[in-house]
Amino acid sequence: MKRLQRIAMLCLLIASAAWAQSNLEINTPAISQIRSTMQSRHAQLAPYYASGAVGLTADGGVALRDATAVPLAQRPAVQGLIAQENADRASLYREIARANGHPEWEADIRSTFAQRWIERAQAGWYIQSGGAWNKK
Amino acid sequence: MNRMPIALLCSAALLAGCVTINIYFPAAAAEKAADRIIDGVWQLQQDKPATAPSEGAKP
Amino acid sequence: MTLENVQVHASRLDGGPARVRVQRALIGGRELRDVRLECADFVAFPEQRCRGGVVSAAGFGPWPVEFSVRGTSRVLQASLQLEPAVRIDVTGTLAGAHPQLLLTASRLDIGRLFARDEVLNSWQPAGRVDVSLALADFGAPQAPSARFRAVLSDAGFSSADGLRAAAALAATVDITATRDGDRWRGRVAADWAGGELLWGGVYLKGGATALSSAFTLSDQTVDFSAMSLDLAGVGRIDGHASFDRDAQALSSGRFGAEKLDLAALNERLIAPLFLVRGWPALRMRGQGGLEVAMDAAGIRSARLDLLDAELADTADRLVLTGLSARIPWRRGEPTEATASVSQAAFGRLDAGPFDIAVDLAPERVSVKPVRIPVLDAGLRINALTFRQVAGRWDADLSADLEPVAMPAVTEALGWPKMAGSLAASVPHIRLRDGVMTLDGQMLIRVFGGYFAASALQVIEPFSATPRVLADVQMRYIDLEALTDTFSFGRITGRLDGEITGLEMAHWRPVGFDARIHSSEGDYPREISQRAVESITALGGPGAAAAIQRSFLGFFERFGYRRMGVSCRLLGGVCVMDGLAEKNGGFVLIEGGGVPALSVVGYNRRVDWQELLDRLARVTDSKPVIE
Repeated sequence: MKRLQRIAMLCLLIASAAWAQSNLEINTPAISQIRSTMQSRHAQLAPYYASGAVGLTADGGVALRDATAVPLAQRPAVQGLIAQENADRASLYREIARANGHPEWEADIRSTFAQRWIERAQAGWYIQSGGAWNKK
Repeated sequence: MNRMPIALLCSAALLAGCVTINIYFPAAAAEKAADRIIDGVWQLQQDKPATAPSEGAKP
Repeated sequence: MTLENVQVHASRLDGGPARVRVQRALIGGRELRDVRLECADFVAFPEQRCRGGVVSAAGFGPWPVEFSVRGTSRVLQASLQLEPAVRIDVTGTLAGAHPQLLLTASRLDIGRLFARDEVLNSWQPAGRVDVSLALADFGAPQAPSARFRAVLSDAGFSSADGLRAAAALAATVDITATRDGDRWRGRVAADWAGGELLWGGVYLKGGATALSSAFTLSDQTVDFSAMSLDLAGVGRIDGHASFDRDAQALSSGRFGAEKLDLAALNERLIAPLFLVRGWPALRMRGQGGLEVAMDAAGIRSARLDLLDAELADTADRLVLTGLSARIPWRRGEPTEATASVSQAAFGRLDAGPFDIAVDLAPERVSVKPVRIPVLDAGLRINALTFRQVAGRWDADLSADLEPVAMPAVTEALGWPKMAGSLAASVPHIRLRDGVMTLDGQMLIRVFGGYFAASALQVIEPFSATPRVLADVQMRYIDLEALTDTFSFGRITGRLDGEITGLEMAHWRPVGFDARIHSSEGDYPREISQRAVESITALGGPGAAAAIQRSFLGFFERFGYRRMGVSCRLLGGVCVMDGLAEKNGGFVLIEGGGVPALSVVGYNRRVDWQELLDRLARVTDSKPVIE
């Protein structure tokens, strides 16, 4: 019976360790690196969110919503920004899953982020839901 | 003598229970983490001073 | 032309008002309903004339119109006023040996012109066009000929998503054609003088871009021959093509170009395509040639030639010079591409010359074994294969680096001269799902000992943010050689070390857990005064190193028993520790022998960049670790 108790204790310890870990690890060098490139890119993207040229997608990325809001010559650059931002966001989700020892969480992390990006978006930005764009 | 199998069974069950706890996706923690990252990337803390309008005006 | 249900009302034939109404008219396949012509003054004989007329049809007009047909040669003069400033004039001679007709219209509104065509109108056409059309010899026994010219100004269009669009276009299109039996033969020429065009990520500015071609138009096909496209600064593309009119698609074609200027081609076409995809840009120079054969299913074969080209990333980390290549491709068939490179530079390291052959097959590219000369040795690529799996490229590499003299390597890299040689054997590197993994160890022999990297991974090596993960072991590194190399002050002894969880971003360390300490065994252990000063300087101006300074003046050398330091790098801060605790500090060097000297550090948290800067100052050279 003692053994059982010990195992139960061990279990409790593991469980409490699991519960105590209420914060996800987001301070690895890789994540910090991605965060800082995304932060500096945001200065370039922000005006496009505001003008409605770029919107937030339901799957945690960004997409070109209306290129006509951007001068012709700048449209390829906006497409490039979007491609880079989406690549960074994908690696961010993957790295968070990886950093917390659960690569299989990537999809869950992506969908959590998708909700939070949209929730935290400024009024007037465009948000995609069910294939349609709505102004927040 | 009789207790051993029960103990083993229990411990197996308990251990299984332990393992499942870790597998659940910590949704609340993930939301918190997401918010912290979004705060940083979008600079939502410092964005309050009125720099946004002039920035937003030029496409 | 078919007219149905024509009603004519005229009071007299030599003047006065008249009215014509056509319920349904078919003109050149287009149907018009309720066509009306009203003339205030209509004369039918001896000449036909309409003054003060108004013409309209369902959805068109009403537009003021005037016309007259005079004399035996039937001289036609007509005008139609579409807008106050937009008029279509038609003049000509309808009878005689050489009948002629000339239609001119200036400043037509392109938007209105296509307003009724749903497909074209969705492209939001805009701008103005001047049109002239001359027809000659359209009588029955002769072969008629036509001359058409359109001059676009301030024209543009835009797809709904704005990704295919043009603005401020200025262009001239000239078409001449002569009827030959049941087909038309002629020439078409287009000159794009200005404006901007965006198409599928390619953004082009107009100017000095001209297309010319001969053509033959029959009921089934349009054939273009002797096509030539002049791209300003880039070069000329020649070719021919046939279109199936029923299928409205290309049925065959061949395009080729020689001596394209790669720098201009890159700037105008390639770089924009890279930009759209968020890829890092390339720098190119030299000449290129292109040959493309197409059929109804698309590109059938293609060949790209490069002649004495230079290729580099914009940061000049990888530069290929004297690159000549011949890269053929055929649909569904394997081909072999060959290239020769006179020099390849990886950073400051030069390699080459070498020739390389690559097997190209659908979804598979493999490089044939090749030896690339590097300094006085060679890099042998035994196998390098790329495979496309679910849209991503996987790769497998096996390579050996022949022993290359370290003095040559360090000199090439601009580092302090090191002795020894560098060799590496890479039995297998895998690239899977964007992660490059080394199976086994990479071993670098240097300073009498070795560095071994295991669990080496490069994550997203071809992205803008490649990251390197590795565990590194160092064994029996000769401190004397090391400190002499970096003019640090002489230390004799041997070092072992473990660097676990090394993570590099942009090829700079961002995280690791390192422990370096004296190797086991018997060997001389001495440290010079100069080295002690260097170590003290590493602690920074504010660092309190417990060195008995009084000793320093008297002795050139000190003995030590062992030395050791650990650094855990995270978030730009190195958290340091030593061999043991002492007086609230940590022992870096434990003294031994006579005279003995101990070094104790107190500053446990050191800014990593600051540490590198101090190291650079102490050694008066660029630290290798960067």
